[in-house]
Amino acid sequence: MKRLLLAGFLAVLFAQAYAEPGVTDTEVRFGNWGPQSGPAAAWGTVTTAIEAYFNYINAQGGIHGRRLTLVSRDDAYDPARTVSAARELIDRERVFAFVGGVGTANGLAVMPLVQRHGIPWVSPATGSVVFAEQSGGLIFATFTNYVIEAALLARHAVNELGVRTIAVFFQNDDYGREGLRGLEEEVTRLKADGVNVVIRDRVSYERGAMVMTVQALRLAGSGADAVLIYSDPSAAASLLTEFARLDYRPQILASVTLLDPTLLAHPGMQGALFSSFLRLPSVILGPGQGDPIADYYFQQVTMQFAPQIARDPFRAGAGIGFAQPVVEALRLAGPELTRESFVAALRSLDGYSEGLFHNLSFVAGYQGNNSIQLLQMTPQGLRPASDWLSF
Amino acid sequence: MDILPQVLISGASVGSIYALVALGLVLLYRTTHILNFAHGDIGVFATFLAFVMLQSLGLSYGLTLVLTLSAALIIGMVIYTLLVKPAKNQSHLGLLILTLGLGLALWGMNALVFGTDNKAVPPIIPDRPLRLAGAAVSQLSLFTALFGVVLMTVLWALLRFTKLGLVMRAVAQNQEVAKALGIPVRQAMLATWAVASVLAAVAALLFAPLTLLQPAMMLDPLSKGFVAAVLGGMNSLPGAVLGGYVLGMTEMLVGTYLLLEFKASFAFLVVLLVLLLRPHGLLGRAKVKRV
Repeated sequence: MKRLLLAGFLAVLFAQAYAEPGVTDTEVRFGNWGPQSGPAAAWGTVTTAIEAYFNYINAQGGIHGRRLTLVSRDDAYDPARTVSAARELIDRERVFAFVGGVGTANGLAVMPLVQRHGIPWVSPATGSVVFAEQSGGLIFATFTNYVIEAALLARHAVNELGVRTIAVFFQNDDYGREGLRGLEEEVTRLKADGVNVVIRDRVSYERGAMVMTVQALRLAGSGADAVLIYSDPSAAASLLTEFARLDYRPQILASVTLLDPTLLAHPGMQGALFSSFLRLPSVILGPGQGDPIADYYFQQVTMQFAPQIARDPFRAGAGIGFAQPVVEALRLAGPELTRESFVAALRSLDGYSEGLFHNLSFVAGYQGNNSIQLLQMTPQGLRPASDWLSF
Repeated sequence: MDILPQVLISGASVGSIYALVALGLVLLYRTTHILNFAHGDIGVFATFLAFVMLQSLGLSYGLTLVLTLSAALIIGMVIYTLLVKPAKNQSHLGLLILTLGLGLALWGMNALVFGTDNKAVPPIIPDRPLRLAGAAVSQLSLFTALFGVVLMTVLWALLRFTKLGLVMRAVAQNQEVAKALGIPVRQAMLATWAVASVLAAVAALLFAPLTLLQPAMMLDPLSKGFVAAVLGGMNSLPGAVLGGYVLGMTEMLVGTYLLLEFKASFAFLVVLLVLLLRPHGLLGRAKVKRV
């Protein structure tokens, strides 16, 4: 009798050990990291937004009877800390999958862990091409990548704004260098089409640096018509302040990562062209100009569940957009939830446009979002400068 | 077009910020021998206070300045009274580590109370470009540079000609003997921490309009300020200012004419060279121990 009980007890223990981590009948746990401190801390809002969307779904009863829980850690935008955060999320918190996770270098540092432990990861909050390229069947990218973004920004500037000389200001890491690569590849394509466009200078800065006087002098010296920026908001603000001092007013082309409410208010940002991979609400684009889906989620999720981040509607929207494919896949995977069924459900997503992305599709690959919309900063605020563009 | 005048002027503009940070660090160091790693965070806290006063309370810039600098003064005194003085480990290393902890705590408090999102701080005077020798000089940079020199002179005069200054110099030479002679050591320390905190606030307030205000804003200028202080001599106030300008100009010259990616490394190389030739910095004085 005792032996039978012991065997039964051991069997239950084994079953628990081999049970899907992060899933019970009533809960599914997702891991996340973000810069709650450090130079990119403004991006911590994305984590808050993901959590708000989970709370919105939980308020409706969850998915198949399970409530969604987000477990998040602060990595201060430091890749070394991201690795220890991810280890903690995997080993101690035993999360089912990752959702979000800000930072290119940060995500790259964590990829080996993800591959080794077979953890699905939806919506790395970075536009690096590497995540989809080296997905290994686990990583699902929803952030239109920087290479495409830079190419489309440059193409628009050359074809629609008559720009012929471009310079680029970039963070000296994978994030910045992908923007540079996108520009260089597009310029090669344009030259092959007979358009005489030239890259006048490539100027970098180190992550965390805040004084941009040298860089501004170099860029102003290049005299380029347009400057493409792949930096963090503080560095961009410093650069633009220095540009104003040197009386240099190029056409600014900015990555989506610079859609920061305070940076947008900087006088140097007037006339700047931005990229957005996200539908934007009226609170950003002006009354009646917003996308109705974006307006709906802004009201129902941000205002109801995280009103404190409503002052940063872009990042709030990004977090919701990142979380939506997770919820959709959970729905499709059904009550028997395993990592395999979750991943299969994600791969089946095709033409998903009910969320905040224009069109999400994973049937052809792991880069699910390949569209951007261009916006221009006017004295009245951000206004659409193009339709949805696809690469 | 010869851009050398522009390079030099921009270098001086950058240097003036480094000089201000270095000034605060050196003032504290020469009296207390403490390297204050929380110097930047104290400045950021004061700037956040200024932001709240300007934005939420709608106060005028003049009133905001007075209130912010008074707050910085009080913060300095509080730090000394509640943290530094009662510290169990009064060795140089012990107090240095204390300032590291203080910096982290202040960072966390700033993030918690004021938020980590970026904020814009207006400049004390409009940042209009003027022309000087064919180069563009920012009105605000000129003000910063001038202000730095004025502050340095005032502090130097304070140390040289006032009783408080004499007391601070005595404390710097030998704290134990000063105490034994009945010199008001505690008052000197209070005053030093108070003034150093005000200097931190001034540096941050003059830097914030050039970038965006967020808790990590002063990390970069602080590390440059340290280098400038070492370069100029850790016990010399004019040295701090000189170190700031030399560092700023070197960075600009190297970054413009040599290799941009190595501008920081090259600047540190220059510092190493200076220290090899003059171990106590450009204007520092060797400590002579009489036996």
